[in-house]
Amino acid sequence: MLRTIPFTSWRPEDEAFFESDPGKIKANAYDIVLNGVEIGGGSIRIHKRDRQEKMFTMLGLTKEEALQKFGFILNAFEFGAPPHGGIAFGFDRFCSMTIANQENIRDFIAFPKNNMGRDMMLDAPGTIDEKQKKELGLK
Amino acid sequence: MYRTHTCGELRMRDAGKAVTLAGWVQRVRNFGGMLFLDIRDRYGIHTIGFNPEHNAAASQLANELGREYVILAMGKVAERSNKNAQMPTGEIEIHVEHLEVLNASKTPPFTIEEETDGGDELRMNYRYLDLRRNNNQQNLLHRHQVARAVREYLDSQNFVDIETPHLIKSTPEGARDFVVPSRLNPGQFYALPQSPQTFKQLLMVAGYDRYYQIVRCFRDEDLRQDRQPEFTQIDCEMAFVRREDVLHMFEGMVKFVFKKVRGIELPDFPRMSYDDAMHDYGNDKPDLRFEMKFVHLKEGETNLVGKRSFKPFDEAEMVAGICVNGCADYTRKHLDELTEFVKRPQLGATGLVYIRCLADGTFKSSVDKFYTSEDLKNIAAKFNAVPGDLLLILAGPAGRTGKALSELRLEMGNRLGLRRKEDYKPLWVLDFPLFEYDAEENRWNATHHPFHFLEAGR
Repeated sequence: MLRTIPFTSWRPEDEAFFESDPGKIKANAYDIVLNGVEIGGGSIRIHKRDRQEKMFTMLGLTKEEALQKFGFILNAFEFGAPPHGGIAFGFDRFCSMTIANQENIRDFIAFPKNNMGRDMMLDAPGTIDEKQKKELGLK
Repeated sequence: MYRTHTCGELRMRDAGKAVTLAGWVQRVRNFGGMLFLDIRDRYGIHTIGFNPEHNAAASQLANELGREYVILAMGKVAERSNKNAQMPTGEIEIHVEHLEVLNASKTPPFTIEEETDGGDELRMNYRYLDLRRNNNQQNLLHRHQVARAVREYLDSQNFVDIETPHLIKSTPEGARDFVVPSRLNPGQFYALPQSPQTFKQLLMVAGYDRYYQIVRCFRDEDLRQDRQPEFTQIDCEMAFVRREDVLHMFEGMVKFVFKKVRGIELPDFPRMSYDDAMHDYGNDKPDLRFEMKFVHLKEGETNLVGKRSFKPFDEAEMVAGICVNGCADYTRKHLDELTEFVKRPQLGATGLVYIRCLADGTFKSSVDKFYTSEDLKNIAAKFNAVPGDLLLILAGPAGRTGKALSELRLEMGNRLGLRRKEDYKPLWVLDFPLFEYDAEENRWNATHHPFHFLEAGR
């Protein structure tokens, strides 16, 4: 099982390390850190099919597995994918950090879940009735 | 409208006006004859007064109100004889002529005050009451302002807000997916997105060269403290950009938000390589509100701790420490505490070596038996230590030792009050390794991924 979704590109000058020492390859990635907290991160992505396939192979996916799971994006890369990159910020965390470095993100979510992933007020998750189960083909 | 004004807006300039307020009863104070009541809404609190000699019916009714009753009060704004400088509305009160109860309330299970008496669980059960508390209201309003500022900035930079689907295909990579059974396709399931990663890349292929979305994401994880199974991400992607362009754009966004929402001007963000961050702070997200960089005593050609038969140092892959200013007078008890701190199972250091830099220029250390005063002097010089400083040194395997020393650095930062709430020290960390080797599974993993940041601050 892959631990991550691997669309991050690498520094072209590290290409040779794929054969010799993959641990030395640097990702074309960046994190934004504020007061010891990572508030966002991203990368310049792979935008060519052969590069993306090389990455999947490196991560131990067979050609068939890669196609089955990520065929849609491999195909898309063959229709004029431009070079691209991006970033994502954890918005809840960003809110908590921008106000006096408060640390608890739950305080910035109107209806948060507790540590067990429960909504205490709704008492969710809950069971569903037999009719619903049947309709969904669940036992 | 039930009201002419909100509960936060009336001031001395409004004295004499006839007003109607609606809100919740914060508290009632009965001074024998006169009765005063604080009425609250999300804008603030007004004090309203009842005089039984002028209006017996309203006074009688006011006497029967409990906390959190919803009321409507009509009356005249008047200057207070007994002003309250603590309240923004403390110079005035409203003399009530007519009072209505819009709805009664049971006594709430906890007090609706900043310092409430309600525990976590109780407040989660009655979240709608918890959200009446001023601190929670301020937090949600802050969130709204941050979202507005983010949108304002990205809109100004030609980003397009595009929604991506929430019912997608499960790819059991990364974290666990939440799955949704499909009624129309029996036995098949959708997954909820862990992020719109592939969609935003497809939008780049589609030619929407600047995309953003403030979007809900889902991860079915074992929850640690302060994690949420659904959380919100500011998700952005750009086409025709190099790394530098992205850094510039989003450094600009963070600066804009701080200026707009907090009035704080952030300086340009320093940049640090992953290797430097690990070397100097033992951490890929260093807290730069204080210095206290690692000093390595055994590295490359340098070995300031060798050949003295002190096994923990001789055998260690890494020997490094931090210089804590002004703590040479730390007592045995303090040092024992710090030793226990680094020996906790989570950190796993085998011990802590200290060197006190005394006022007379001499040194007192926990390794005096092994190292000469000349040795200690050389070590202290490497730290640029001055009399009064305390050197704390750890030794062991590089990974674990770096982590333990990083935690010790943060602990000392806390103890010395160097991690001030009002300070903001952002930075970029760059050049992460692309892969890390998973020895257990005998294969390479991608180290950096769009969800990486969620590990933060747990």
